[in-house]
Parts: sequence; structure tokens; C-alpha cells
Amino acid sequence: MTRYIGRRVLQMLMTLFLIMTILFILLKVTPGSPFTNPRISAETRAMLEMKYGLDKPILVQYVIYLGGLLRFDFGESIIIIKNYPVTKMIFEPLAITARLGLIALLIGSAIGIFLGALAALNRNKFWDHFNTIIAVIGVSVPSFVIATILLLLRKQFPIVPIIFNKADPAKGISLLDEIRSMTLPILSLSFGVIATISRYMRTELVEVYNSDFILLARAKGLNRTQVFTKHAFRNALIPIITVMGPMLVALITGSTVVERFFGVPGLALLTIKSINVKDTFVTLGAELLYSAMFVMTMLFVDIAYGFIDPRIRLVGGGKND
Amino acid sequence: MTNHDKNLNQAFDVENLPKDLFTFEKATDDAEGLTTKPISFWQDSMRRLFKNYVAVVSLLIIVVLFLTAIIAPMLSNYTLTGRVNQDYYKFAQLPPRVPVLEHFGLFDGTLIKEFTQGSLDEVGYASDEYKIVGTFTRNRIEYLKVKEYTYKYLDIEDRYFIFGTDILSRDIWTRVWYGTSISLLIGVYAAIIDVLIGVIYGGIAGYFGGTKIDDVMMRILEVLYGIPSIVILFVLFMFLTPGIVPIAIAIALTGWIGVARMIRAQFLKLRDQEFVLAARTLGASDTRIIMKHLIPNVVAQIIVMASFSIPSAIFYEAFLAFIGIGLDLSKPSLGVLINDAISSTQGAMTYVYQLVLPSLVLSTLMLSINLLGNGLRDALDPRMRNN
Amino acid sequence: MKETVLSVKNLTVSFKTHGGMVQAVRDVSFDLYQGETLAIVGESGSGKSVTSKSIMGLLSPNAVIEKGEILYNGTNLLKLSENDFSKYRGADIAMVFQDPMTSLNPVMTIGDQISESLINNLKYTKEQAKARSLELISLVGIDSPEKRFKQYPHQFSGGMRQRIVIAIALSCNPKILICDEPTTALDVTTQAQILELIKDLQQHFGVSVIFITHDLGVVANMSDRVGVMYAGKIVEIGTVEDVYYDPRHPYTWGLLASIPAFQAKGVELYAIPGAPPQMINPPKGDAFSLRSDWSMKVDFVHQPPMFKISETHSAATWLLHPNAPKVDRPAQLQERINVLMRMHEGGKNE
Repeated sequence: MTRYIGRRVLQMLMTLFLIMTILFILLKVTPGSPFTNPRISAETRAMLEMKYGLDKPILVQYVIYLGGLLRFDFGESIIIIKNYPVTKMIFEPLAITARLGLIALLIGSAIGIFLGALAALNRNKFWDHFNTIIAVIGVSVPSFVIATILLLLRKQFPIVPIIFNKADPAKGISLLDEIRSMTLPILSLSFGVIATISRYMRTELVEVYNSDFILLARAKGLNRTQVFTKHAFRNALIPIITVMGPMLVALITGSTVVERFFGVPGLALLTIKSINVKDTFVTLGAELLYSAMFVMTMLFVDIAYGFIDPRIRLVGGGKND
Repeated sequence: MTNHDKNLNQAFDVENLPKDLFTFEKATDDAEGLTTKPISFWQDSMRRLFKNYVAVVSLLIIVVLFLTAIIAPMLSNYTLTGRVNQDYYKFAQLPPRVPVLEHFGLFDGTLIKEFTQGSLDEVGYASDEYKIVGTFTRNRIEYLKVKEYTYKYLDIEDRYFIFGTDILSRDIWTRVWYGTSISLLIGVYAAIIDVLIGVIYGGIAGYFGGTKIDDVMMRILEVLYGIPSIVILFVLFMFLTPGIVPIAIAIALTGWIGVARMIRAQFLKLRDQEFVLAARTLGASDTRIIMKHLIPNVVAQIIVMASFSIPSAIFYEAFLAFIGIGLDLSKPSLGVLINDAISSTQGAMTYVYQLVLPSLVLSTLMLSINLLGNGLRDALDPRMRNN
Repeated sequence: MKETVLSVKNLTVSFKTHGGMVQAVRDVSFDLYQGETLAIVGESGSGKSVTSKSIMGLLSPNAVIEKGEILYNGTNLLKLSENDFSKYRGADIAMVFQDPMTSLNPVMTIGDQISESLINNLKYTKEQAKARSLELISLVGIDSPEKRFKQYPHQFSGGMRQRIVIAIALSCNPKILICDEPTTALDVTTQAQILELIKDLQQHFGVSVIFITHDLGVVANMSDRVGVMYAGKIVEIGTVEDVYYDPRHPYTWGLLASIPAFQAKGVELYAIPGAPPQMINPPKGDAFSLRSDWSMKVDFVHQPPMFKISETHSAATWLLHPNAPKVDRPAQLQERINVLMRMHEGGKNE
């Protein structure tokens, strides 16, 4: 197991390195520089580019950037906050985005698992159809439409704030205020989670119920409740865990809409902003962070899977595809 | 009563059966004719699809939306970007109004506006041009909810704008259906591209599964898979000029990985089955095995994947439009229209129709394609075949 | 010996499908006596597994029990609610399934899976259940039970998994054990071991066994009585001697003639022509008449009733009707039966 994890971590680092290289090259060969601006004269631009080392060959810039990364230095912002280290800029928005994503994932999964199980246990009855409707709406209605609906609903029932408030005792904003202001973003994010997870749960549970070991469990004399709690539920839950990882990443990277809608100062907004002003190192840092998160989540899921599923635990995590 | 019971209950006297019944007789072929005729996989699938009324209704809706998207802008008196009237200030933000329906209180060309008593007097409605429908208090000020008969108020009672007009006095009906065709086009292009790339890549990797080729191809896939799709899109749009094809390509570039993985897994499974081994023993070439034996066995899955690819591409495009990349304002998709509406109405309830109508069309389109996809999957999944 | 523990009467089961109702079991009746092994033989689709699942109350949701009753201790099991039925399963009637690779829960230890039954049915404490489970593991011939107790199914071979399934089935001393093709998924050497184990354990526990199989060869030295099923009906039933040495139904003839193991030298192996009928629209008369060399006019008109041949032996074929022409078994088959009898005599003398 340890060897397996070690190998996977190594693989992950390789992947990240490749991603970083590709992104770096792509960002560097895109036309335009942070100083492409009609108000900046050609001479000033050349001077500025020299100052920030943007005139050097790409390879040299790459080596410098790589050297920085090894010291956990993601470079400096040029436009958004002049000469401010990217490292300091990207982690706080990430924390906010990740917090929203994680809570939405937990709430959404819990509801989704519950609804999915309800549907599987009542096939072709009300809850099953309900589940199908939720799932189809979940993939058919864009998140910004859902956010808009929530916003309109909120106008009728002004219980929670629309705009995100970051807890800040200095400004008299308590943690409770922050939590209240997170309600709408989390609701809009978790809708998709509920739709996907409930669908998965239903499918998995139906499949598990068709397997022989459920027949054996029933043949042992277990009643419906025991069959469900002791045999069906856990087996159906295992594959759900594999979708939860990528889903968290999708929530974090896909929270753009929600961030824009509810004014959440998250990573997605920063990324878009940096792209628009061509603040390359901020873009690079944010995107690397996304990728790292993605790859790490996948690894984490694989390892967690190994601990939950005894078949993989000892075999050493052979690939199944 | 079932057939079966009839057989069992057939009364006859066992002791006294006529002797001539007990002479040998060979079974005739038509005795076997009782069994049902064999039906092909595709016939069976189609039969099941058409039995699924949700899928049939979805298919109908898709056809209707598709035709309307083509025909409506052609028949319309207005253009995509042109103002409906010289007097554009007057003709801006007109509510939807449809003949006949207006008498039932739907699409009746009215707006619900909020006034204080003072501001209402200032507007100076004639008595048949408004109706007070409610009151509420906000910040200790009394407000009136007023239903404004907009067309009457503006003296344009002879005009009908089915979906109303937007803030720049453009006809929303024309724009929505134009946008629908753009969205559909992007969806179909993207689906074709990602299925094509996915099948070729996944097919090659799967066919050579376990060899160096497969290994390298999977590594590449893993790296690509490790890049969140939003990152790929961000980067791509630094190069691409906005437009239908570039957007479709960009979306396909993030979507093909799933197809490739699925096809590879299927190929790996099929490759070792007896019929492929048999073909190989008989000296069939790699190309022949792939084209004649492997591809036909994954066609069903490819169709299902493509049917889910279309709505997800449309979805993605709408998402991109919302966050403001890949926008092409001269060829606005539904996503662009919705985004426009969100920013121009600022979430004001009065003009919410501008947001609701394109959203409704988009959601209906997505819903129908997804439901049809579900129907196709259920109809084509061989595992379901014998249930 | 003749005490009846289970009585199946006129059991008729159909399945709802897209194509219509599939008549899987048609008017099946038989008794199971205390301590005996009743083998039910038939090809796939003959309704033997459906019969056994009906007894266990484990039919899939699209099954419809059209009529009949299954009497156990005076209770008609078919009338029980799911929860009441679950009290009989495991405790009174237990089952061993066909595929040991899939019939154990992959994420639960072997020990827990055996204990579960004991705790649930016999109200054992965890410790008692563990002690008994360890005994059972050794009893089914698996070494180092302590270690095995904590392991997961994937650490066991197919044969060992089937031993565990048998241990689970017998854990609560059931009155009836149903074995649904317990050796089909196993390789030949393991098959013999598992059959031997079931035989031994039957003696040990004094349980009555219903042994479902498609293999007449397996049945011969396993069972006391044999029922032959075809197209959802029992076409011949009797003691092993009745059915093997004096078969009356043409289908039984065909089956016996096609067992390679009893092959006499120089005699060509027989194959029954054709395929079993589709059970959505079963033939009007005798279902086997379409494939039989001895079909008569009546076979296409009426379904044959069970004709009694002796106290223990009956068969459903019009050939047994007093009006039917006298038919002898094919000479080649008689030859095989003779070989079989000699083999059996030889076995007894050893």
C-alpha cells in the first residue's frame, strides 16, 4: 500500500510538472502582454517588460519561474496589485471557494444519497420519478438560471443576505453573518450535486440489489431493513465516493457563476480578472492551483477507495479500466 | 385468464381418449411457428424507444424547437440587431403580447411596476391604463404595486411583440430563436468533434490495450485529464477569435476525454472476446477488426454519448457566455442572450420576462435532449435487453 | 423415513416481460421427505431455479405466483408477508447459490457474514456467534479458521467461497437446504469436493436437501430421488433407481442417452434434437412432443397428466396411457442403462 501511494504521488508530481510546463508555454506565447495598452507608449512598454523580465527568452523565464516554484514562490502580480506576491493572492480566495465547495458537496451529497436511496427502494413510484425529475433538471437548467431563480425567490423572502460577507470582526461582521451570507451560494452550488449524486446512488443501489450477495443476505433470513443497512448501502456508497472527488473540484472550478452572482471574492473571479488584464503569473498560479487540487483530489479518492474497498486494499490498487 | 390456465383447465377424459389420437405423428414445422419471430437489435431498440412516451414527447419537442429556430427568424419582421422602431426609447422593454392569449391574462402586454403615490401621479396614467394590484411597505415608505397596460399607455395597441423587446428595443422573439439555432449548432458541432476524436483516440488505445502505445496514450490522457477543463478553455480563448466553430472546438477539446476513456474500456473488453479472436485467427487485419467487429459493438454507446454531449456542450457554452469568454455578440447564443438579460435587467422583477423566456427555451431544449438521451440509453443498453 | 417436511402443490409461476407472460413453472407438485436428497434435473429455462427461488421466497419482483401452495409445517409459505417469510429463511430453509464468486458480500469479512446469520436467527451474542462460526469454518474443511474469519471474500478461491456459503447456509441448523447448481461455476476437481462436502454435511446435520442441477451425472450418487423438469413441468419423478434404470419419459431417455460419463464403448453419444420451447407461448399439448421421436397425435392436443408407474415412480407422457402403443426404450439407451447398473453394482461390492 505504501509503495502504491508513493508511486501515485510521484506520478501526480510528474503530471503537475507537465501541466505547469504546458500552461507556461501557452500563456507565454499568447499574443499581447500586460502592458498592451494604447496609453502606454512602445518605449515605456519595452522598459516595463525589461523590468519584469518579460523580454527574456521563454526558456529563461521558464527556468526562473520553476526556480521560484521550488521555493513555493508563484511570482509577482504585475497589474492587479502591483508587485504583490501571487502566493499571498491566490490562497485566500481559494480558501473561500473551497469552503463553499466543500459545504455544498457535503450537504448536496447527504441529500442526494438520501433521495437516491429512496428512489431505488421505491422503483417506478413517486420518489423514483421525483428523483428523475431532479436529476434531469440538474443537468438541464444552467447554474446561472438556478442562481437567478434563487435570487428572485430571495427578493420575495428576504431572510438571508444576497451578497457574500466575509467574517471580519474589525468591520463588525461576525462568523454567523458570513454563514448566513453563504446560504444562497451554497444552495445554488449544491443543487447540481444533489442531482448527480442522487442519480448515481439510485443506479448503484439498483445494481447492488440485483447482485447475488443480496440474495444470499435475504436467504440468511435478514429482513429488508437489515439487508439495506448491512449489505446494500455500503456497497452502493463505495462508487459514490469516486464521483465525490472530481465533483468537489468541479464545484470549486465551476463556482465562477456563483461567485459572480453573489459577490464571493473567490479564486474564479480572480482568475478571470487576471486573464482579462493579462496578469500572467496570477493566471498561472491560479490555474496551477486548480490543477493541483484536481490531481490531488483524484489521488486522495483513489487512496480512500483503497481503504474502503477491501478488494483494492490488498491487491495494491490495480487499474480497473 | 391467461393462456396457461386455459391449457390446464381444458377438460377431457383421460381414460376415454379416442384411440386414433394414439398414433405416432412427427412434429410439423409450423408447430414451432408458435414462437415469436426473432427481431434485430435495432428493431428491438427502436420499438423500446417508441414505447417510452417520455422519449417520444422529448423527440417531438426537439423537432418543434428545431423547426421554430429555423423558421421563426425567417418569418419575423425584425432582425437580430435592428431596433423595432425609430422611436427606440418608446419601444424599449415592451412586455410580451400575443394575440388571443392576451385575453386569458397571459402574454397580455402588461408590466407590474412599483410606485409611491407621488411618483404614480407624476406618470399621469389615464384611468384605463393602469390598475393597482397591491401595496407593500419598504423602509417605512408605502409602495403601490401597479399593473401597467403598457401597449395601451404607449398607444401602440395595434402592435404585438410575442416575447416583448429588450432594453435596446430589439425583438426578443427573433433573438431567442436565432440564439436557439446558434446554441444547437454549437452543441451538434461539439458533439461531432468530441465523439470523433474520442472514438479514434480511445479506439486505438483500447485496441492496443496493454502495449506501449496504449500506455503512452493513457499517460497523455491522464495529464490532459488533470487539467481542469475551465483552465483549458481559458487558455484556448487567448488564441481563438470568438465564433461558433472555435467555441465548439474548445468545448469538444474538454469533452472528448470521457468518450475516449469509455471507448477504450469497451474495446478492451470486446478485444478478448471469442468473435474477435476468431476473426484474428482467420487473418483479418487490424483495420478490419476495428471497423467490422469492434465499432459496430459500441455504436449504441457512441449514440448515447453523443446525445448527452449535445446538451452538455450547449450548457457549457451558456456558462462561458455567462462568465464572459468566447462571446460573439454578432452571433448570440441563448447563453449570451440570458447573460445580456441578467445584466440589463439587474434582477428587476418588472422586466424578468427578458430573462425567463430565453432561459425557458434553453432549459426546455436541454431537458428534451437529456430525456431523449435517457430514452436512447435505456433502449440501446444491451444489459437492459432481456429484462 | 416417509415424513414429509415440505410439500409443493400445483405451483405455477410466470414472469412479466416486454414480450408477454413467460410461464416459467407450470403446475409443479412434489414432496420432500425428512433426511432425503431430492434432485431436480433439467436444462436451463426448465423452471428448476424458479421453483427453488419460490420455496425461498426470493423471486424477482416481476414474478407472479399464479397459483399453488408450498406447505412447510402446515404453513403456506406463499401466503407470508416478506417480513414473516424472512423468519423462515436461514433458520428453517437455507440455500446455496450457483456462483460463489458473486454470492458473498465483497466488503464484509467472512466471519461477519457467517456470524450475521447466527446473531439474527438464533439470537447468539457476538462471542457465541464467533465461536460457532469458527467451528463451521473448520467443519466445511477450511484450515486456520481464526485467520480466515477476518478475511474478505476476494482472498478466497471459488471452491473455498462455496464452502463458506455452505457454512452460512447450515449455520442455523435448517430443516431444508436448497442447493441451486452449487458446483456449476466450479472446476471439476473442486466440484467433486463440494459434492462430497454437501453429502457429508447432510448426514451430519440430518437436513433434507433439494439439489438443483442440469447434470444427471452429478445426481446419480448424490440423491435419493430425482425429479426431471422440462418446460416448467415435472415430467418424471421417482427414486434414483426408478429414473435411472427404468426411465419412462422420452425426455428422460434423451437426457440419459446424452451423459458422456456413462458412455458405453462404441456407442454414439446422443443429442436431443431441437431446443426447448419459448415459454411465452408454450405448445398446446406435451411441450416435449416437438422434439420427441415418439410423439403421437394426442401430444399436440392435450397435456399429459402424471401417470403412476409405482408407489415411488410417475411420469407425464401419453406413452403410459393404456391406449398408447407399446414402446420400448431405444436399444442403445438400454445398453447404457445396463452399463450403468453394472457400474453401480460394482460400486456396491467395493
